[in-house]
Amino acid sequence: MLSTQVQAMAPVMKSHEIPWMTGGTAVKNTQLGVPGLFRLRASDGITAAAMTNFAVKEKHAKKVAIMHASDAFGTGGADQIVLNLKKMNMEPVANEQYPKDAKDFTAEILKIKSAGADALLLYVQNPSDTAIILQQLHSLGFTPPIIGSPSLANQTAMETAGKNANGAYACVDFIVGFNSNVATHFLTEFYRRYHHQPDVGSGSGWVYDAVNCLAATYKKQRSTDPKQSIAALRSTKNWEGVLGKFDCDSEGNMVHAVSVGQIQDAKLNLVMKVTG
Amino acid sequence: MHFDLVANLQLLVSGLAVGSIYALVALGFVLIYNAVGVVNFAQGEFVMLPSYIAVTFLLPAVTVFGTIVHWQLPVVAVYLLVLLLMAGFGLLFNRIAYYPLRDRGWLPVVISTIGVSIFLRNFAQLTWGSQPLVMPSLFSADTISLGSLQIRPQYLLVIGVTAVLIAFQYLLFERTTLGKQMRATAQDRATARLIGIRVGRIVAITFVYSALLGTISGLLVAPIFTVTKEMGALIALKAFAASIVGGFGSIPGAIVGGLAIGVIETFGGFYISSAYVDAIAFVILIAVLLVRPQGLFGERVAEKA
Repeated sequence: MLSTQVQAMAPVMKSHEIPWMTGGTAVKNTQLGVPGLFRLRASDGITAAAMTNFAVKEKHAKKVAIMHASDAFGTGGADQIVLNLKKMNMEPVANEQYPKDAKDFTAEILKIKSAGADALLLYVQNPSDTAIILQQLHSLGFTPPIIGSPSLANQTAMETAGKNANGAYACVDFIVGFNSNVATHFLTEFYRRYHHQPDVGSGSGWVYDAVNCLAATYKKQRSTDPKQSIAALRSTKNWEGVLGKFDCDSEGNMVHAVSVGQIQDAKLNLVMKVTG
Repeated sequence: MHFDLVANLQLLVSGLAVGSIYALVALGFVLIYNAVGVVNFAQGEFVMLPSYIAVTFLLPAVTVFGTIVHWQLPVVAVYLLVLLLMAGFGLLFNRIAYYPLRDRGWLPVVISTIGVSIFLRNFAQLTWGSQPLVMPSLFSADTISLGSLQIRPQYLLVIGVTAVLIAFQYLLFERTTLGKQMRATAQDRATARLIGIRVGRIVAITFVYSALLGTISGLLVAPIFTVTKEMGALIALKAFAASIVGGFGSIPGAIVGGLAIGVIETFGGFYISSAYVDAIAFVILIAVLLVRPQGLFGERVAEKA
């Protein structure tokens, strides 16, 4: 389940005390009071903080602009960025939201350019939107650093954007080549069966982890009793999944670290690791 | 916000390019509406389908039905092939979606076009998958720089081709027998039949022409928008609004409506808010309908008491 489904179904989920595993990254998901909800990816809070810190501290940006989709993912991510900028006594010089299915971003990009932005933080989920925005940023001569949410490094987005994605940064859950043994095994097996690389960060990685984490819990307690399973999942410590080490916090968040990578020729190269 | 000439010129070019696409698709709506009296809700798929076909033959490798195919052909051959296939598709559409239902009123035909639209989107997903495809541009350079102004050559191509098509359409309707027969059929099918015009054939030609307008829109817009199964839907929605703003059934109205919506939403995104770009288009639509219910170029229809 992703954020929209979690938020829509929260009242029903609350009345059924069973383990619910989500890959939805909206911060709000795990604050809805659903007792059995566990998030198997880094939340937007961690990602947005990493994006903001990278822009301000590593790229020395003084005028940060935001561009985001109008869906729950985009607006939630942008709100987190604004929150993090506030902590640094900063405000975005432009905060451009575009409607679903928009295809021409000239107005947004020109506003960002005319605001004098020296870094652009992108919170966009749709790979097609990502590719078009990167293409239009390139053609309108936007040169400052572009730092995106995990979906910027989605394999489809990187391949669709082509050379226009080169040099852009993305804060992601996972970077191929810097993975644990569990992740290496997952990648090898996935490729052997389906003949293409999985989208680990935003796609199949967390789903694989969800099934395995739940299975490991059932095995450990030799029971599938929902209440016992929830209690056992809440005590998860140092469990190794594809997306890294899992430690469950009081809200049910399992993953607390992201990496910053830079895109070159549809491949993401590690720049730095960030722990939230 | 201070006035920035370069930014405004940039917005104008983008607005005209986007508006040109709305205008071309709106023309497709209007031509079919005039010929058979119904709105073709598959008009957006007339943009999407040729884009997928073109990209299949333009890229070195494309996945079709789960198999990687290498069917790359020269650009000119691809464009001709797509136009030919889509002309055939226009005939087929007329034969399947319109012709069998032509005497059953407007509603079954409208439902039929919605059915074809849904079918084509799902067909595209099954055939080419859900990942967006990138159609190569005809131009090697992404932008042309004129001082501080950076213009995408594809945008200029869109505007130029639209201007040529509008001129061609004017000549077709005003100077050729076929065009006059199409106009006569649009104005009054029964009278057209009485004076010897083969109405069925003219309607079929109208569907072909409308499919070709969609095809050209698709070929123009695909290098900018990427090719997805939804690519035609939003264009069609805006084009539909454009044709209403212009006066449904009016050819100049479709052109002016399309250009106006494209330009106003681009400037609105810059000067008002990019979050309300879609709202701006539809606020214009509502405002025009309130002030002038027949649209900018539509004729007032009076009913006897």
